[in-house]
Amino acid sequence: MSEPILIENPMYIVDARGVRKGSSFTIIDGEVSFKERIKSGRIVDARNRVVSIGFYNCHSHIPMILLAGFYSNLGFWPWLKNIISLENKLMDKGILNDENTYYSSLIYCSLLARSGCCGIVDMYYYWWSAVNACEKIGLRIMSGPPNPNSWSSFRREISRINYNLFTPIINMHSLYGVDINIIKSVVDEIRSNIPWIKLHIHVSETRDEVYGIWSKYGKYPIQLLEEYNLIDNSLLVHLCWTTYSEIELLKHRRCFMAHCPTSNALLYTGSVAPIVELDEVGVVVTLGTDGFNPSYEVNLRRVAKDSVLQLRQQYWSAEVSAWDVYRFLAVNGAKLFGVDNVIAEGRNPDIVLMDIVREARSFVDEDNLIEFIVYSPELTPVRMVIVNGNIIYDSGFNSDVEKEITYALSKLSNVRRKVREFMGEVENEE
Amino acid sequence: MVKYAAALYSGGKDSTYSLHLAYLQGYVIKCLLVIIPPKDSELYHTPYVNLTLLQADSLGLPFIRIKGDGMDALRTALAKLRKDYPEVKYIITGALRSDYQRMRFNFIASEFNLKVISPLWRKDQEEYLRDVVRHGIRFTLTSISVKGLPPKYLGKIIDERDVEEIIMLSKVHGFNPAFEGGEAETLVLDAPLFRKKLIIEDYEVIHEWEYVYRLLIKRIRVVEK
Repeated sequence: MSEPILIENPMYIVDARGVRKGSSFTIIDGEVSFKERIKSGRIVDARNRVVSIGFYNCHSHIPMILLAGFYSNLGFWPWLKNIISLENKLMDKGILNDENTYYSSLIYCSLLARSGCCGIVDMYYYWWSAVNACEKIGLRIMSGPPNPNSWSSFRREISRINYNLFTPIINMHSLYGVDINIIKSVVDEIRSNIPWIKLHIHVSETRDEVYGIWSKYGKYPIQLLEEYNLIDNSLLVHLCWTTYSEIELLKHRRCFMAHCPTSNALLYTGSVAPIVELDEVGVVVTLGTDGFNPSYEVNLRRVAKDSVLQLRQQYWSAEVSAWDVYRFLAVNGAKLFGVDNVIAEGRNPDIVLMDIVREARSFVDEDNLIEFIVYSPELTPVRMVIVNGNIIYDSGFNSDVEKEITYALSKLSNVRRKVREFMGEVENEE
Repeated sequence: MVKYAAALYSGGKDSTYSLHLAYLQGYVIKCLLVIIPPKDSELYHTPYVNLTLLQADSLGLPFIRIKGDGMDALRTALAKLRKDYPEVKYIITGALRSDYQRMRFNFIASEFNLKVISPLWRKDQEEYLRDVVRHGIRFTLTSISVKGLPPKYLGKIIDERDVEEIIMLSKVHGFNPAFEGGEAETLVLDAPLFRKKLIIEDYEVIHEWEYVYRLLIKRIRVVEK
């Protein structure tokens, strides 16, 4: 049972149905009501505030904030090679371990939550650490062991989690990282036990990846996934180099994609995903920060803005609007997590409350609110985040979480020092 | 950083306009890559590719000219490019919406560690056609192979009125207004980067069959601008 909440007199409400003038509503055990009144509980003064459904980070490698700043300014392949090599060495040395990934996850999750994030899709080593960090804060998380090799090992791994906002997902790194036949057999085996489970995989991120797949199989990556019947119910990440023939294959399929414009641009992967076309054929487009290394991003709304900027430059048109990327960020993100995306009687959405700062109030209205939300996060800062009916952020976290974050910060500065020392040793050896 | 580039060039509106845009975006074009393909090439633009010599002269650019087809021809051209112009890091192409072209060019370019720039990629096709004419690319049609596109455009310099008519006809007959599906082939006679312009002095329109027409250029002249 969570504490009943009354959201009183919000200026506007935004959800899958669009923008409308706000009116007071209650949230009791996660359920919205415009009729119910509460006798006791939390009363939130929402004057000058916007109430939106939550935002979702649909692709990340949460603990990678631990490696922030390493190998910046490299293109995708040298970056990946260096990062994987560093991770392996740090694991061998015991520096990258489940404790440190937990504390780095806690830091990254707290930063994301402060910007309105309600759920994260993750893929990383010590995957349970990120789940534990999300549990500590109260965020939803979809994750699972990286590159599982059988149902029994997968079941054993996920059985260690007992968190009601955790959803297992099959994390397969990529078609170049894992053999397609192994992906197929493991996915089929897991799905014979959990039919609804999603496959989460990087696809067509770089030109060399696509060329590699094409040279090996004579097919583009999505054509290969189609041949192995792996498109439906998948979360395909990046899709930068997707061809029109592949887009046709994705038409009217139960398929999600995570667009990560910020990390794609920072790693200069050379092509922008054809988001307009993917959206048109019915792919559920969502947004992701990717890892903090390489994206340096903690605010999903800036990812949304990056997406608009890149796509308008690419298409030379305004085909992608602020509303489109709000859909990707909030409406479609909620769909991926199976959460309601409307604020309506009897529904159970996650909720974000944003201020409209005093200076902006005179020029924000119902018609341009979405533009302000997407393009000007500084003028519409997040003040409260409610996940599954619980206030997880209220201009700060509860004292227990804040204390843990403080501890994590001191812990991580030591770990970062060790990583730097270790990198210095490696460089000297080389 | 100076961005040295080579442009895959066929002499049609797409490759000329993409070269024009790349130039405006700060690429320094070192040479043209001209593939002389067989008639039925799926990858390259064919009619009047021989006139690219005159166009290269008009542009004041050297060229690498390779006879052949498919990925091998491009591989040969890029190998020569690497040898003759090692400073070139980018290839400019006029790909609009053809992944067949775009991805094959990319695959071969990746073998030579070259990056492909396609300034026209995914642009709205109607707006693109308007822009081509508005930005001073003077072209004519050299072949038509689609129902609904009248032969009057063969030999004529396409103007803004023609563009609107072509767009309207494309909607009625369901063809691509930028001719991305090979509905028509074009030849550029003048462009802002041309130092000289081409003038067709004598031509004949050949009706090959049904709605397939071809422009037979009998005499062409290059004049100073």
